[in-house]
Amino acid sequence: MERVASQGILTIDFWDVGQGDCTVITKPDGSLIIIDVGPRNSPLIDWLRDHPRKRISDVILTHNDSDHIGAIPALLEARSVGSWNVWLLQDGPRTGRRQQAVVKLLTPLKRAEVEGIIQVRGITKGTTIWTDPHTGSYLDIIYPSELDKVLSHESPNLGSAILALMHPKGKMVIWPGDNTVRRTLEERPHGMLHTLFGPHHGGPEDRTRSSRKTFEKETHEIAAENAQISVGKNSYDHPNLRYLTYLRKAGCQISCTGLTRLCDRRIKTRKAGHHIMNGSALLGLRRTSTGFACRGAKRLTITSEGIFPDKYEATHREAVQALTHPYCMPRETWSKKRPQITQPPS
Amino acid sequence: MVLDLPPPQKAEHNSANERFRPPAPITRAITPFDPSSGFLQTISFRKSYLALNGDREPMRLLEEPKILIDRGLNIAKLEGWGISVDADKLSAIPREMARRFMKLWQDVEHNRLSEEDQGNWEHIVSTVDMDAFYLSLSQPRYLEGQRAGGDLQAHVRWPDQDQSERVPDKFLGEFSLLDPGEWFGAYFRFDLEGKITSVERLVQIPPPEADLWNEWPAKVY
Repeated sequence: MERVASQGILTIDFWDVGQGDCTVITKPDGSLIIIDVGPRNSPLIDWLRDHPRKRISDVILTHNDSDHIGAIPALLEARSVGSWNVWLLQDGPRTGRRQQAVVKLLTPLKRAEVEGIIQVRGITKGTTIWTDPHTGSYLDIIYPSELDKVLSHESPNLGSAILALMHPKGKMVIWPGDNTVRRTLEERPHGMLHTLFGPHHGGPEDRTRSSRKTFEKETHEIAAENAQISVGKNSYDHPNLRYLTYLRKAGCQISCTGLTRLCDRRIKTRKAGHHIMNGSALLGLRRTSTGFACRGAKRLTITSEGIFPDKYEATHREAVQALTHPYCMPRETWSKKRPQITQPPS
Repeated sequence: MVLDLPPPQKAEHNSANERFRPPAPITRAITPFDPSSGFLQTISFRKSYLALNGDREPMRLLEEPKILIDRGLNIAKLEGWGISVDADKLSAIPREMARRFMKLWQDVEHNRLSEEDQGNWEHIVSTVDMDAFYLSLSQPRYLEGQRAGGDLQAHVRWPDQDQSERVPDKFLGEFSLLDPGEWFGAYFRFDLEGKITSVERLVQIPPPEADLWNEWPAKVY
Protein backbone atom coordinates (compact mmCIF):
# COMPACT_ATOMS: atom_id res chain seq x y z
CA MET A 1 0.00 0.00 0.00
CA GLU A 2 1.25 3.44 -0.80
CA ARG A 3 2.50 5.90 1.74
CA VAL A 4 -0.43 8.29 1.43
CA ALA A 5 -2.89 5.59 2.36
CA SER A 6 -0.85 4.23 5.24
CA GLN A 7 -0.51 7.64 6.90
CA GLY A 8 -4.28 8.16 7.00
CA ILE A 9 -4.14 11.53 5.27
CA LEU A 10 -6.13 12.97 2.46
CA THR A 11 -4.68 14.51 -0.71
CA ILE A 12 -6.26 16.72 -3.31
CA ASP A 13 -4.56 16.86 -6.72
CA PHE A 14 -5.57 19.64 -9.07
CA TRP A 15 -4.58 18.18 -12.44
CA ASP A 16 -3.20 20.05 -15.42
CA VAL A 17 -5.54 18.89 -18.20
CA GLY A 18 -5.13 21.94 -20.43
CA GLN A 19 -8.33 23.92 -21.00
CA GLY A 20 -10.56 21.89 -18.69
CA ASP A 21 -11.07 20.89 -15.09
CA CYS A 22 -10.04 17.77 -13.24
CA THR A 23 -9.40 17.14 -9.54
CA VAL A 24 -8.59 13.84 -7.86
CA ILE A 25 -9.13 13.39 -4.13
CA THR A 26 -7.25 10.40 -2.73
CA LYS A 27 -8.98 9.15 0.39
CA PRO A 28 -7.07 7.63 3.30
CA ASP A 29 -8.08 4.14 2.13
CA GLY A 30 -6.53 4.85 -1.29
CA SER A 31 -9.79 5.10 -3.25
CA LEU A 32 -10.48 8.13 -5.42
CA ILE A 33 -13.10 10.81 -5.75
CA ILE A 34 -12.82 12.54 -9.11
CA ILE A 35 -14.33 15.99 -9.57
CA ASP A 36 -14.68 16.55 -13.34
CA VAL A 37 -12.66 14.34 -15.65
CA GLY A 38 -11.30 16.92 -18.09
CA PRO A 39 -11.50 17.08 -21.88
CA ARG A 40 -11.24 14.25 -24.44
CA ASN A 41 -7.43 14.04 -24.18
CA SER A 42 -7.38 14.11 -20.37
CA PRO A 43 -4.11 12.63 -19.03
CA LEU A 44 -6.06 11.19 -16.10
CA ILE A 45 -7.06 8.21 -18.26
CA ASP A 46 -3.46 7.15 -18.95
CA TRP A 47 -2.62 7.55 -15.28
CA LEU A 48 -5.57 5.39 -14.21
CA ARG A 49 -4.55 2.70 -16.70
CA ASP A 50 -1.04 2.67 -15.22
CA HIS A 51 -2.48 2.41 -11.70
CA PRO A 52 -4.99 -0.41 -12.04
CA ARG A 53 -5.28 -0.88 -8.28
CA LYS A 54 -6.63 2.62 -7.74
CA ARG A 55 -10.30 2.21 -7.02
CA ILE A 56 -12.76 4.94 -7.97
CA SER A 57 -15.55 5.52 -5.47
CA ASP A 58 -17.20 8.63 -6.91
CA VAL A 59 -17.06 10.75 -10.04
CA ILE A 60 -18.70 14.15 -9.73
CA LEU A 61 -19.47 16.16 -12.85
CA THR A 62 -20.08 19.80 -11.98
CA HIS A 63 -21.85 20.39 -15.29
CA ASN A 64 -22.05 18.86 -18.74
CA ASP A 65 -19.57 20.88 -20.79
CA SER A 66 -17.05 18.91 -22.83
CA ASP A 67 -14.03 20.40 -21.02
CA HIS A 68 -15.40 18.86 -17.81
CA ILE A 69 -16.91 15.57 -19.05
CA GLY A 70 -15.07 14.99 -22.36
CA ALA A 71 -13.06 12.04 -21.03
CA ILE A 72 -16.08 10.14 -19.67
CA PRO A 73 -16.23 7.58 -22.56
CA ALA A 74 -12.50 6.87 -22.20
CA LEU A 75 -12.80 6.65 -18.41
CA LEU A 76 -15.55 4.06 -18.69
CA GLU A 77 -13.48 2.10 -21.17
CA ALA A 78 -10.44 2.23 -18.83
CA ARG A 79 -12.47 1.27 -15.74
CA SER A 80 -15.12 -1.09 -17.08
CA VAL A 81 -15.27 -3.16 -13.90
CA GLY A 82 -16.13 -2.19 -10.36
CA SER A 83 -18.96 -0.17 -9.03
CA TRP A 84 -18.84 3.57 -8.54
CA ASN A 85 -21.14 6.49 -8.21
CA VAL A 86 -21.47 9.16 -10.86
CA TRP A 87 -22.95 12.42 -9.62
CA LEU A 88 -24.66 14.23 -12.47
CA LEU A 89 -26.32 17.55 -12.90
CA GLN A 90 -29.39 17.97 -15.05
CA ASP A 91 -28.31 21.40 -16.25
CA GLY A 92 -29.69 23.97 -18.64
CA PRO A 93 -31.16 22.99 -21.99
CA ARG A 94 -28.87 23.01 -24.99
CA THR A 95 -29.70 22.95 -28.63
CA GLY A 96 -28.20 21.63 -31.86
CA ARG A 97 -24.62 20.40 -31.81
CA ARG A 98 -24.11 21.21 -28.13
CA GLN A 99 -26.98 18.95 -27.15
CA GLN A 100 -25.71 16.27 -29.52
CA ALA A 101 -22.27 16.51 -27.85
CA VAL A 102 -23.75 16.02 -24.38
CA VAL A 103 -25.81 13.06 -25.57
CA LYS A 104 -22.83 11.47 -27.28
CA LEU A 105 -20.49 11.97 -24.33
CA LEU A 106 -22.97 10.70 -21.76
CA THR A 107 -24.41 7.76 -23.73
CA PRO A 108 -21.60 5.44 -22.44
CA LEU A 109 -22.78 6.34 -18.91
CA LYS A 110 -26.24 5.16 -19.79
CA ARG A 111 -24.86 1.84 -21.04
CA ALA A 112 -22.69 1.48 -17.93
CA GLU A 113 -25.67 2.17 -15.71
CA VAL A 114 -27.68 -0.53 -17.44
CA GLU A 115 -24.77 -2.96 -17.00
CA GLY A 116 -24.54 -2.11 -13.30
CA ILE A 117 -21.01 -0.63 -13.45
CA ILE A 118 -22.12 2.75 -12.17
CA GLN A 119 -24.91 4.20 -10.12
CA VAL A 120 -26.09 7.60 -11.28
CA ARG A 121 -26.95 10.08 -8.55
CA GLY A 122 -28.32 13.57 -8.87
CA ILE A 123 -26.45 16.61 -7.63
CA THR A 124 -28.55 18.55 -5.14
CA LYS A 125 -27.64 21.12 -2.52
CA GLY A 126 -27.33 19.75 0.99
CA THR A 127 -25.96 16.34 -0.02
CA THR A 128 -22.81 15.18 1.73
CA ILE A 129 -20.92 13.01 -0.73
CA TRP A 130 -18.32 11.73 1.67
CA THR A 131 -17.09 12.22 5.24
CA ASP A 132 -13.55 11.37 6.29
CA PRO A 133 -13.48 9.82 9.78
CA HIS A 134 -9.71 10.41 10.09
CA THR A 135 -9.50 14.14 9.48
CA GLY A 136 -13.14 15.02 10.08
CA SER A 137 -13.38 16.63 6.64
CA TYR A 138 -16.46 16.28 4.49
CA LEU A 139 -17.37 16.99 0.87
CA ASP A 140 -20.65 18.82 0.42
CA ILE A 141 -22.74 19.99 -2.51
CA ILE A 142 -23.58 23.63 -1.78
CA TYR A 143 -25.33 24.52 -5.05
CA PRO A 144 -27.79 24.06 -6.79
CA SER A 145 -31.00 23.20 -4.99
CA GLU A 146 -33.89 21.71 -6.93
CA LEU A 147 -35.34 25.20 -7.34
CA ASP A 148 -32.01 26.63 -8.49
CA LYS A 149 -31.92 24.02 -11.27
CA VAL A 150 -35.15 25.41 -12.64
CA LEU A 151 -34.17 29.04 -12.20
CA SER A 152 -30.65 28.81 -13.64
CA HIS A 153 -31.64 27.58 -17.08
CA GLU A 154 -30.32 30.76 -18.68
CA SER A 155 -26.89 29.22 -19.23
CA PRO A 156 -25.34 25.83 -18.35
CA ASN A 157 -22.40 27.63 -16.72
CA LEU A 158 -24.68 29.47 -14.31
CA GLY A 159 -26.25 26.22 -13.24
CA SER A 160 -22.89 24.60 -12.58
CA ALA A 161 -22.65 22.71 -9.29
CA ILE A 162 -20.53 24.15 -6.47
CA LEU A 163 -18.74 21.76 -4.11
CA ALA A 164 -17.00 22.48 -0.84
CA LEU A 165 -14.62 20.31 1.14
CA MET A 166 -14.90 21.43 4.74
CA HIS A 167 -12.19 20.94 7.33
CA PRO A 168 -13.19 20.82 11.02
CA LYS A 169 -10.77 23.66 11.81
CA GLY A 170 -12.89 26.04 9.76
CA LYS A 171 -11.01 26.01 6.46
CA MET A 172 -12.41 24.90 3.15
CA VAL A 173 -11.66 24.20 -0.50
CA ILE A 174 -14.30 25.19 -3.07
CA TRP A 175 -14.91 23.94 -6.62
CA PRO A 176 -17.35 26.35 -8.29
CA GLY A 177 -17.10 24.64 -11.71
CA ASP A 178 -17.92 27.29 -14.30
CA ASN A 179 -20.26 29.21 -12.01
CA THR A 180 -19.76 32.82 -10.97
CA VAL A 181 -17.86 34.47 -8.14
CA ARG A 182 -21.10 36.05 -6.97
CA ARG A 183 -22.91 32.70 -6.71
CA THR A 184 -19.93 31.18 -4.90
CA LEU A 185 -19.89 34.09 -2.48
CA GLU A 186 -23.62 33.73 -1.81
CA GLU A 187 -23.47 30.00 -1.23
CA ARG A 188 -20.16 29.52 0.52
CA PRO A 189 -20.32 28.28 4.11
CA HIS A 190 -18.76 30.26 6.95
CA GLY A 191 -15.04 29.79 7.44
CA MET A 192 -11.76 30.59 5.76
CA LEU A 193 -11.49 29.78 2.08
CA HIS A 194 -8.12 28.07 1.69
CA THR A 195 -8.30 27.36 -2.04
CA LEU A 196 -10.72 28.45 -4.72
CA PHE A 197 -10.60 26.39 -7.90
CA GLY A 198 -11.21 28.75 -10.83
CA PRO A 199 -14.02 29.49 -11.43
CA HIS A 200 -14.48 29.09 -15.20
CA HIS A 201 -10.76 28.80 -15.94
CA GLY A 202 -10.10 32.22 -14.47
CA GLY A 203 -12.73 33.94 -16.60
CA PRO A 204 -15.90 33.95 -14.47
CA GLU A 205 -19.01 35.28 -16.15
CA ASP A 206 -19.15 38.08 -13.57
CA ARG A 207 -16.85 40.02 -15.87
CA THR A 208 -19.72 40.53 -18.29
CA ARG A 209 -22.67 40.31 -15.91
CA SER A 210 -21.47 42.62 -13.11
CA SER A 211 -20.04 46.09 -13.08
CA ARG A 212 -16.29 46.35 -12.53
CA LYS A 213 -16.83 47.75 -9.07
CA THR A 214 -19.17 44.93 -8.03
CA PHE A 215 -16.90 42.31 -9.55
CA GLU A 216 -13.92 43.66 -7.64
CA LYS A 217 -15.92 43.94 -4.42
CA GLU A 218 -17.21 40.38 -4.64
CA THR A 219 -13.80 38.97 -5.52
CA HIS A 220 -12.44 40.77 -2.48
CA GLU A 221 -15.24 39.54 -0.24
CA ILE A 222 -14.80 35.91 -1.16
CA ALA A 223 -11.38 36.22 0.53
CA ALA A 224 -9.66 33.23 -1.02
CA GLU A 225 -6.17 32.61 0.32
CA ASN A 226 -5.18 30.66 -2.80
CA ALA A 227 -6.67 30.34 -6.26
CA GLN A 228 -5.85 27.47 -8.57
CA ILE A 229 -6.81 28.23 -12.15
CA SER A 230 -6.95 25.48 -14.74
CA VAL A 231 -6.11 27.06 -18.03
CA GLY A 232 -4.60 25.89 -21.27
CA LYS A 233 -4.39 27.02 -24.85
CA ASN A 234 -7.74 28.72 -25.53
CA SER A 235 -9.46 31.31 -27.63
CA TYR A 236 -11.61 32.75 -24.83
CA ASP A 237 -8.92 34.95 -23.25
CA HIS A 238 -8.82 32.81 -20.13
CA PRO A 239 -7.70 33.69 -17.57
CA ASN A 240 -9.24 37.13 -17.36
CA LEU A 241 -6.73 39.85 -16.46
CA ARG A 242 -9.19 41.83 -14.40
CA TYR A 243 -10.11 38.80 -12.33
CA LEU A 244 -6.45 37.97 -11.69
CA THR A 245 -5.76 41.55 -10.68
CA TYR A 246 -8.73 41.65 -8.29
CA LEU A 247 -7.71 38.34 -6.73
CA ARG A 248 -4.15 39.53 -6.28
CA LYS A 249 -5.25 42.83 -4.76
CA ALA A 250 -7.36 40.84 -2.30
CA GLY A 251 -4.19 39.10 -1.13
CA CYS A 252 -4.78 35.80 -2.92
CA GLN A 253 -1.90 33.61 -4.09
CA ILE A 254 -2.68 32.70 -7.70
CA SER A 255 -1.34 29.80 -9.69
CA CYS A 256 -2.41 28.74 -13.16
CA THR A 257 -1.83 25.26 -14.53
CA GLY A 258 -0.87 26.44 -18.01
CA LEU A 259 1.02 29.30 -19.57
CA THR A 260 -0.77 31.62 -21.97
CA ARG A 261 0.35 34.46 -24.21
CA LEU A 262 -1.15 36.80 -21.66
CA CYS A 263 1.64 36.21 -19.18
CA ASP A 264 4.46 35.41 -21.56
CA ARG A 265 4.55 37.47 -24.72
CA ARG A 266 7.51 35.39 -25.92
CA ILE A 267 5.61 32.11 -25.73
CA LYS A 268 5.95 31.49 -29.47
CA THR A 269 9.71 31.33 -29.16
CA ARG A 270 9.60 28.87 -26.25
CA LYS A 271 11.03 25.46 -27.08
CA ALA A 272 9.00 22.28 -26.61
CA GLY A 273 9.29 20.77 -23.15
CA HIS A 274 10.62 23.95 -21.51
CA HIS A 275 7.90 24.60 -18.93
CA ILE A 276 7.94 27.28 -16.27
CA MET A 277 7.36 24.52 -13.73
CA ASN A 278 6.09 21.04 -14.49
CA GLY A 279 4.20 20.43 -11.27
CA SER A 280 2.53 17.36 -12.74
CA ALA A 281 5.80 15.49 -13.27
CA LEU A 282 7.14 16.67 -9.91
CA LEU A 283 4.11 15.17 -8.16
CA GLY A 284 4.07 11.95 -10.19
CA LEU A 285 0.99 12.93 -12.20
CA ARG A 286 0.54 13.43 -15.94
CA ARG A 287 -0.27 16.53 -17.90
CA THR A 288 -1.80 17.21 -21.25
CA SER A 289 0.95 17.09 -23.86
CA THR A 290 0.06 20.35 -25.60
CA GLY A 291 1.18 23.81 -24.55
CA PHE A 292 3.38 24.78 -21.64
CA ALA A 293 2.86 24.34 -17.91
CA CYS A 294 3.19 27.36 -15.64
CA ARG A 295 2.47 25.76 -12.26
CA GLY A 296 1.17 22.48 -13.64
CA ALA A 297 -0.59 20.31 -11.14
CA LYS A 298 -0.87 21.24 -7.49
CA ARG A 299 -1.39 19.09 -4.42
CA LEU A 300 -3.03 19.87 -1.11
CA THR A 301 -2.54 17.56 1.83
CA ILE A 302 -5.21 17.44 4.50
CA THR A 303 -4.60 16.12 7.97
CA SER A 304 -6.50 16.60 11.19
CA GLU A 305 -4.22 19.63 11.78
CA GLY A 306 -5.23 21.54 8.67
CA ILE A 307 -4.80 21.99 4.92
CA PHE A 308 -1.24 22.20 3.58
CA PRO A 309 0.03 23.03 0.07
CA ASP A 310 2.84 21.10 -1.60
CA LYS A 311 6.43 22.28 -1.33
CA TYR A 312 6.65 23.89 -4.77
CA GLU A 313 4.87 27.17 -4.07
CA ALA A 314 8.09 29.13 -3.53
CA THR A 315 9.76 27.48 -6.53
CA HIS A 316 6.87 28.57 -8.72
CA ARG A 317 6.95 32.16 -7.41
CA GLU A 318 10.61 32.31 -8.31
CA ALA A 319 10.14 30.71 -11.72
CA VAL A 320 7.42 33.14 -12.89
CA GLN A 321 9.85 36.02 -12.49
CA ALA A 322 11.19 35.01 -15.89
CA LEU A 323 7.87 35.86 -17.57
CA THR A 324 7.21 39.15 -19.30
CA HIS A 325 3.82 39.77 -17.60
CA PRO A 326 3.35 37.52 -14.55
CA TYR A 327 -0.11 38.70 -13.52
CA CYS A 328 -0.03 36.47 -10.45
CA MET A 329 2.65 38.78 -9.02
CA PRO A 330 2.47 42.48 -8.09
CA ARG A 331 3.52 44.72 -10.94
CA GLU A 332 6.35 46.18 -8.88
CA THR A 333 8.09 42.81 -8.95
CA TRP A 334 7.91 42.36 -12.72
CA SER A 335 11.24 42.20 -14.41
CA LYS A 336 12.39 45.58 -15.65
CA LYS A 337 14.65 43.99 -18.20
CA ARG A 338 13.81 45.23 -21.64
CA PRO A 339 15.85 44.94 -24.83
CA GLN A 340 18.55 47.60 -24.75
CA ILE A 341 18.51 49.90 -27.75
CA THR A 342 21.96 51.18 -28.40
CA GLN A 343 22.07 54.76 -29.61
CA PRO A 344 24.37 55.45 -32.55
CA PRO A 345 27.21 57.81 -31.62
CA SER A 346 26.36 61.41 -32.43
CA MET B 1 19.13 -1.77 -22.96
CA VAL B 2 20.38 1.75 -23.44
CA LEU B 3 20.97 3.03 -26.93
CA ASP B 4 22.19 6.35 -28.11
CA LEU B 5 20.51 7.83 -31.13
CA PRO B 6 22.80 10.19 -33.03
CA PRO B 7 21.32 13.54 -34.07
CA PRO B 8 20.12 13.67 -37.67
CA GLN B 9 22.81 14.87 -40.07
CA LYS B 10 22.12 16.94 -43.11
CA ALA B 11 23.54 15.39 -46.27
CA GLU B 12 25.86 17.63 -48.20
CA HIS B 13 27.32 16.93 -51.60
CA ASN B 14 30.93 17.86 -51.42
CA SER B 15 34.07 15.89 -51.61
CA ALA B 16 35.00 16.48 -47.97
CA ASN B 17 32.11 14.21 -46.93
CA GLU B 18 33.64 11.28 -48.70
CA ARG B 19 36.71 11.30 -46.49
CA PHE B 20 36.78 9.28 -43.32
CA ARG B 21 35.46 11.07 -40.28
CA PRO B 22 35.98 9.73 -36.78
CA PRO B 23 32.80 9.41 -34.66
CA ALA B 24 31.93 12.49 -32.67
CA PRO B 25 33.04 12.27 -29.03
CA ILE B 26 30.27 11.77 -26.51
CA THR B 27 31.73 14.32 -24.15
CA ARG B 28 32.97 17.88 -24.47
CA ALA B 29 35.24 19.66 -22.03
CA ILE B 30 33.78 22.71 -20.35
CA THR B 31 36.75 23.42 -18.10
CA PRO B 32 40.25 22.17 -18.84
CA PHE B 33 41.92 19.69 -16.57
CA ASP B 34 43.90 21.69 -14.02
CA PRO B 35 45.76 19.98 -11.14
CA SER B 36 45.78 23.26 -9.18
CA SER B 37 41.96 23.21 -8.96
CA GLY B 38 41.97 20.04 -6.89
CA PHE B 39 42.12 17.64 -9.84
CA LEU B 40 38.58 18.65 -10.84
CA GLN B 41 37.28 18.88 -14.37
CA THR B 42 33.82 19.57 -15.78
CA ILE B 43 32.71 18.08 -19.05
CA SER B 44 29.34 18.02 -20.75
CA PHE B 45 27.73 14.82 -21.84
CA ARG B 46 26.75 15.15 -25.50
CA LYS B 47 23.61 13.06 -25.53
CA SER B 48 20.22 14.21 -26.68
CA TYR B 49 18.29 10.94 -26.36
CA LEU B 50 18.36 7.99 -24.03
CA ALA B 51 16.21 5.03 -24.89
CA LEU B 52 14.24 3.13 -22.28
CA ASN B 53 12.52 -0.22 -22.70
CA GLY B 54 14.24 -1.14 -25.95
CA ASP B 55 13.87 2.26 -27.57
CA ARG B 56 10.08 2.25 -27.25
CA GLU B 57 10.12 5.08 -24.73
CA PRO B 58 12.64 7.74 -25.72
CA MET B 59 13.88 10.07 -23.04
CA ARG B 60 14.80 13.36 -24.67
CA LEU B 61 17.25 15.51 -22.79
CA LEU B 62 16.53 19.22 -22.94
CA GLU B 63 20.13 20.16 -22.14
CA GLU B 64 23.49 18.47 -22.03
CA PRO B 65 24.14 16.97 -18.58
CA LYS B 66 27.36 18.05 -16.87
CA ILE B 67 29.84 15.55 -15.49
CA LEU B 68 32.15 16.59 -12.68
CA ILE B 69 35.32 14.50 -12.69
CA ASP B 70 37.58 14.25 -9.70
CA ARG B 71 40.84 12.92 -11.13
CA GLY B 72 42.32 12.64 -7.65
CA LEU B 73 39.64 10.22 -6.43
CA ASN B 74 38.94 8.87 -9.95
CA ILE B 75 35.21 9.54 -9.59
CA ALA B 76 32.81 11.07 -12.10
CA LYS B 77 29.53 12.56 -10.86
CA LEU B 78 26.58 13.50 -13.04
CA GLU B 79 25.42 16.89 -11.82
CA GLY B 80 21.92 16.86 -10.36
CA TRP B 81 21.26 13.18 -11.03
CA GLY B 82 22.83 11.59 -7.95
CA ILE B 83 24.97 9.29 -10.09
CA SER B 84 28.65 8.48 -9.48
CA VAL B 85 30.80 6.17 -11.61
CA ASP B 86 34.51 5.50 -11.95
CA ALA B 87 36.12 8.25 -13.98
CA ASP B 88 37.45 5.71 -16.47
CA LYS B 89 33.98 4.22 -17.06
CA LEU B 90 32.13 7.18 -18.52
CA SER B 91 30.47 4.93 -21.06
CA ALA B 92 28.38 3.47 -18.21
CA ILE B 93 26.67 6.82 -17.64
CA PRO B 94 23.79 6.43 -20.17
CA ARG B 95 22.72 3.17 -18.55
CA GLU B 96 23.00 4.66 -15.08
CA MET B 97 20.94 7.67 -16.16
CA ALA B 98 18.20 5.44 -17.51
CA ARG B 99 18.22 3.34 -14.34
CA ARG B 100 18.13 6.39 -12.11
CA PHE B 101 15.31 7.94 -14.10
CA MET B 102 13.21 4.79 -13.96
CA LYS B 103 13.73 4.40 -10.21
CA LEU B 104 12.88 7.98 -9.29
CA TRP B 105 9.95 8.07 -11.68
CA GLN B 106 8.43 4.97 -10.13
CA ASP B 107 9.10 6.33 -6.64
CA VAL B 108 7.30 9.59 -7.36
CA GLU B 109 4.42 7.84 -9.17
CA HIS B 110 3.82 5.71 -6.07
CA ASN B 111 4.37 8.57 -3.65
CA ARG B 112 7.43 7.08 -1.97
CA LEU B 113 10.13 9.51 -3.12
CA SER B 114 12.59 10.11 -0.29
CA GLU B 115 13.72 13.57 0.82
CA GLU B 116 17.26 12.81 -0.42
CA ASP B 117 16.04 12.00 -3.93
CA GLN B 118 13.68 14.98 -4.11
CA GLY B 119 16.34 17.38 -5.37
CA ASN B 120 17.51 14.93 -8.02
CA TRP B 121 13.97 14.42 -9.29
CA GLU B 122 13.40 18.19 -9.53
CA HIS B 123 16.58 18.49 -11.59
CA ILE B 124 15.61 15.57 -13.83
CA VAL B 125 12.11 16.95 -14.48
CA SER B 126 13.61 20.25 -15.60
CA THR B 127 16.13 18.60 -17.95
CA VAL B 128 14.09 15.75 -19.48
CA ASP B 129 11.20 16.22 -21.91
CA MET B 130 8.56 14.58 -19.72
CA ASP B 131 5.75 15.33 -22.19
CA ALA B 132 7.39 13.22 -24.89
CA PHE B 133 8.12 10.48 -22.39
CA TYR B 134 4.55 10.29 -21.13
CA LEU B 135 3.23 10.42 -24.68
CA SER B 136 5.31 7.37 -25.56
CA LEU B 137 3.85 5.57 -22.54
CA SER B 138 0.24 6.36 -23.35
CA GLN B 139 -1.93 3.61 -24.72
CA PRO B 140 -4.35 4.04 -27.62
CA ARG B 141 -7.47 5.79 -26.40
CA TYR B 142 -11.02 4.78 -27.29
CA LEU B 143 -12.94 7.65 -28.82
CA GLU B 144 -16.19 8.03 -30.68
CA GLY B 145 -16.78 10.47 -33.50
CA GLN B 146 -18.50 11.13 -36.78
CA ARG B 147 -16.98 10.68 -40.23
CA ALA B 148 -17.08 13.81 -42.36
CA GLY B 149 -15.53 14.84 -45.66
CA GLY B 150 -15.72 13.20 -49.09
CA ASP B 151 -14.33 9.97 -50.53
CA LEU B 152 -10.84 11.31 -51.17
CA GLN B 153 -10.37 12.94 -47.79
CA ALA B 154 -11.48 11.81 -44.38
CA HIS B 155 -12.44 14.26 -41.69
CA VAL B 156 -13.44 13.48 -38.14
CA ARG B 157 -15.92 15.50 -36.15
CA TRP B 158 -15.49 14.90 -32.44
CA PRO B 159 -18.59 15.36 -30.27
CA ASP B 160 -16.90 18.12 -28.26
CA GLN B 161 -15.64 20.14 -31.22
CA ASP B 162 -17.48 22.36 -33.64
CA GLN B 163 -14.82 22.10 -36.34
CA SER B 164 -13.97 18.84 -38.08
CA GLU B 165 -10.38 17.63 -38.17
CA ARG B 166 -8.69 16.20 -41.22
CA VAL B 167 -7.37 12.67 -40.81
CA PRO B 168 -3.91 12.02 -42.32
CA ASP B 169 -4.19 10.31 -45.71
CA LYS B 170 -2.44 7.18 -44.48
CA PHE B 171 -5.55 6.37 -42.42
CA LEU B 172 -7.94 6.88 -45.33
CA GLY B 173 -8.18 3.10 -45.70
CA GLU B 174 -9.65 2.67 -42.22
CA PHE B 175 -12.18 5.43 -42.76
CA SER B 176 -13.11 4.39 -46.30
CA LEU B 177 -15.49 1.77 -44.85
CA LEU B 178 -17.61 4.55 -43.39
CA ASP B 179 -19.90 6.86 -45.27
CA PRO B 180 -19.78 10.55 -44.44
CA GLY B 181 -22.07 11.24 -41.49
CA GLU B 182 -21.74 7.79 -39.93
CA TRP B 183 -20.55 7.39 -36.33
CA PHE B 184 -17.58 5.27 -35.33
CA GLY B 185 -15.60 4.13 -32.32
CA ALA B 186 -11.86 3.45 -32.54
CA TYR B 187 -8.61 3.51 -30.58
CA PHE B 188 -6.50 6.57 -31.37
CA ARG B 189 -3.02 7.83 -30.61
CA PHE B 190 -2.03 11.48 -30.82
CA ASP B 191 1.23 13.40 -31.05
CA LEU B 192 2.37 16.34 -28.92
CA GLU B 193 0.27 18.71 -31.02
CA GLY B 194 -2.85 16.58 -30.65
CA LYS B 195 -2.74 15.26 -34.25
CA ILE B 196 -3.77 11.66 -34.96
CA THR B 197 -0.81 9.29 -35.29
CA SER B 198 -2.56 5.91 -35.27
CA VAL B 199 -6.04 4.45 -35.67
CA GLU B 200 -6.88 0.92 -34.55
CA ARG B 201 -9.97 -1.30 -34.33
CA LEU B 202 -12.35 1.10 -36.00
CA VAL B 203 -15.99 0.02 -35.83
CA GLN B 204 -19.23 1.59 -36.86
CA ILE B 205 -21.57 2.53 -34.02
CA PRO B 206 -25.16 3.78 -33.98
CA PRO B 207 -25.76 7.53 -33.92
CA PRO B 208 -26.73 9.25 -30.67
CA GLU B 209 -30.28 8.29 -29.87
CA ALA B 210 -32.23 11.21 -28.55
CA ASP B 211 -35.11 8.88 -27.57
CA LEU B 212 -32.83 7.13 -25.10
CA TRP B 213 -32.65 10.33 -23.11
CA ASN B 214 -36.31 11.02 -22.66
CA GLU B 215 -36.22 9.50 -19.20
CA TRP B 216 -32.71 10.59 -18.27
CA PRO B 217 -31.38 10.35 -15.61
CA ALA B 218 -32.84 6.91 -15.10
CA LYS B 219 -32.05 6.32 -11.45
CA VAL B 220 -31.52 9.37 -9.35
CA TYR B 221 -31.49 8.52 -5.67
